[in-house]
Amino acid sequence: MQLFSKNKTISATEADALLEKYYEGFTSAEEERQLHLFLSQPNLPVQYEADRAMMGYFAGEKQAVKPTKKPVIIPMIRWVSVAAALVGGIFLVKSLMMEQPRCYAYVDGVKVTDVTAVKAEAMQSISEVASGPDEVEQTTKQFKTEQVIKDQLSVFSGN
Amino acid sequence: MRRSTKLCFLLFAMMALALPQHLAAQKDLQISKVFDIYGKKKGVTMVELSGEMLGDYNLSLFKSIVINDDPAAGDFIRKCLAKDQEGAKKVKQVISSGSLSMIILQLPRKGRLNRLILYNATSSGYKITLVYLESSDEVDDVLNLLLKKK
Repeated sequence: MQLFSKNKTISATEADALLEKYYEGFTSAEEERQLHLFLSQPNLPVQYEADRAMMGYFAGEKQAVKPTKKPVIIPMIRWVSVAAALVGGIFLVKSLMMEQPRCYAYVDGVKVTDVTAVKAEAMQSISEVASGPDEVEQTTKQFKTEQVIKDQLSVFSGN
Repeated sequence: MRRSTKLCFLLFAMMALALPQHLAAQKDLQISKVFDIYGKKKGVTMVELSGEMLGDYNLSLFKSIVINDDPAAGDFIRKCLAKDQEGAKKVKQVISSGSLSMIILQLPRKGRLNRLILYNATSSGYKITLVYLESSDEVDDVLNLLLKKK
């Protein structure tokens, strides 16, 4: 009896016995493979339709679904990984080039990092520039005074 | 365009976006050379403050340099200012005895930043002060805050 030879199908009697065993839950993997092989044959008697519908259906489904899923998942993974790489790249570049607050001064070539001292130097330099507008105002005032104009015109009057 | 070329282009675009604005903003000016050349010399005081250190003043960058008794530096600074004046607005200028004694320049904006140069030289030219500022505030507000806060 060639019941479990690799590619040969089992007989109807053997199949009945195995089916009974299958529904009771005692079949081995090899026996189930033989059953699948038997039920996947064309022109089987009608009595096996129900068994075939149950076991053969699942076997067919597995084959049908496989090729359609693959092309959907792979592009998705590819795009997700590209997007993740881009986001990661932006964060990396941002963090590398992130501006750290700077606070230092060089006085006669010597570096000073004490915040209070640096701020004092900054205020000092601003006050140097700020003295300018006052000077401007004073200069403008001088030129606006009538006395200055009179003095300058007096040169031409000959007095 | 090839795929690798596209990726390179994208990477450069990302780096350009990530580059801190003030790094690019100040380096296009001639006065940046003044800070580079004279900043660490004797008789010179250079200050740089940025970020949260300037919270009270709404400035994003403050750089100043005070140079004492260096006529050559004075000439160099005035040349730099003459170049940086191109395209800039003169807020104030004072010429004393034929030479520039004070100038405030409002430079073209860089992104959202207003940029200012302030220069002052004593009548003898003994002391020269140069300040560069960046702020997202209006120029008038910055000047009022700085120059009247004494």
